[in-house]
Amino acid sequence: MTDYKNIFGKPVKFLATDPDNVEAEGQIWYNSTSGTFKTVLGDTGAWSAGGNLNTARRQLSGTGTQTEGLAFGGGNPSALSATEEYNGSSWSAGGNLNTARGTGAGCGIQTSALFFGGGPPYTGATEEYDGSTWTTSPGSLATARGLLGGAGTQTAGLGFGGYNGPGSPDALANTEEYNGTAWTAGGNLGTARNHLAGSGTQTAGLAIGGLPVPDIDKTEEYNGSAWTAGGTLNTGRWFLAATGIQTASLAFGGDVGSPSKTGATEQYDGSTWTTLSATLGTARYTLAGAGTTSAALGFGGSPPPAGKTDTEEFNASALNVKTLTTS
Amino acid sequence: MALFIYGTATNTGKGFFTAEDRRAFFLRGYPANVWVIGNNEKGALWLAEKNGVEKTKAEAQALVDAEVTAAQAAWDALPEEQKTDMNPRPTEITLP
Repeated sequence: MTDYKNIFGKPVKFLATDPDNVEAEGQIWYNSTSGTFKTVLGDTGAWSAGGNLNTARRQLSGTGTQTEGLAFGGGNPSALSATEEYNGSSWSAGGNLNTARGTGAGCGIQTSALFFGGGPPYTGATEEYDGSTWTTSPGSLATARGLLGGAGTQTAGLGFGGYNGPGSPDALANTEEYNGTAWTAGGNLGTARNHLAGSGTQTAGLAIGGLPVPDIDKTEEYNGSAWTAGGTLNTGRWFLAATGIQTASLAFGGDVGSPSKTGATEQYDGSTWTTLSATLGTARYTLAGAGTTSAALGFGGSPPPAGKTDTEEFNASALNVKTLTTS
Repeated sequence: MALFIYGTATNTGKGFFTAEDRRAFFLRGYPANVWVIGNNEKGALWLAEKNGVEKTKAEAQALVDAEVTAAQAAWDALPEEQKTDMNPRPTEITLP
């Protein structure tokens, strides 16, 4: 008679306590405390419809939380300055950006946000939001760019990668750090890229996916001075959205190669990306994201022509741990 | 039995589809307010409750094609400097 080890090539793990992360889904282990075999049934959460944006847009930026979200900039296809604030059910108008643009990066919270870069024409312009008004910062990215990644807060921001137009390298590796007033150079990405997503903080950041094509599944982790290789996305993609922190991030949506847009959602635990059973109701790219791995928000995006208004809310489920019996 | 139901319904925002809906049946949105829905009782009920209009697959595909064609025409009419890698021409979509 064959057994688990012969089928799967490894023995059942003995664990004193049940695992608490999504990687446990589909695994079988022996809980040595309760003396029972256990598994997790697949249901890691779901995306549901949220209130629609008032202005359809793509290549927008976002930040905040699922119940206090912020959407700003983008295009439909003309560049937009409009800002919208989400309260958990609907979007209302916020203060306009001083410079209408898409492809920038954002970070912070609804009442203290940062927007930097964007274009074309590609810029290093940086704006700060106080919950009602955007103010142009005296600080500007040293390397003007769009299609970059962003992370952090209004007073400790991080910008990395991107693109600054024909005639320059297709993808940038430059990282810059913002202190509330000025941008200074940080450590370069190991792999130059654009169309990527970011999450985390200035001292614990995450760069996810992006072009060029050979690098669409790459993740790098920042420690405040240098980037090192992280786990590999299961679905390589660009023009995706991400949210969370370095050890608990969510990546969703994106372009996986024309004509296929994805609604795939993956969760990072600091070393490994796990594909969740949850997918966006409307697969899309050039969207923005906000929130956490347990309560996220995805909004706007493409396909064209004018961009999307669709908002979706992700809510994680508690792990459905089941004890295995013979009955 | 066919795997999917095809229909049109306008996304009214919050509550248009819920987490429970997503667990109960396949649901994927496309241009022209076309939705592809898992063919079970709850999926059919969802489309009815949203005042949706059921379509055949061919009808749904035609609606999507028309939207994509219009988007392609709009893109083709753009000034050349706006036809960049960052603003790609809309591509055909094939419904499952």
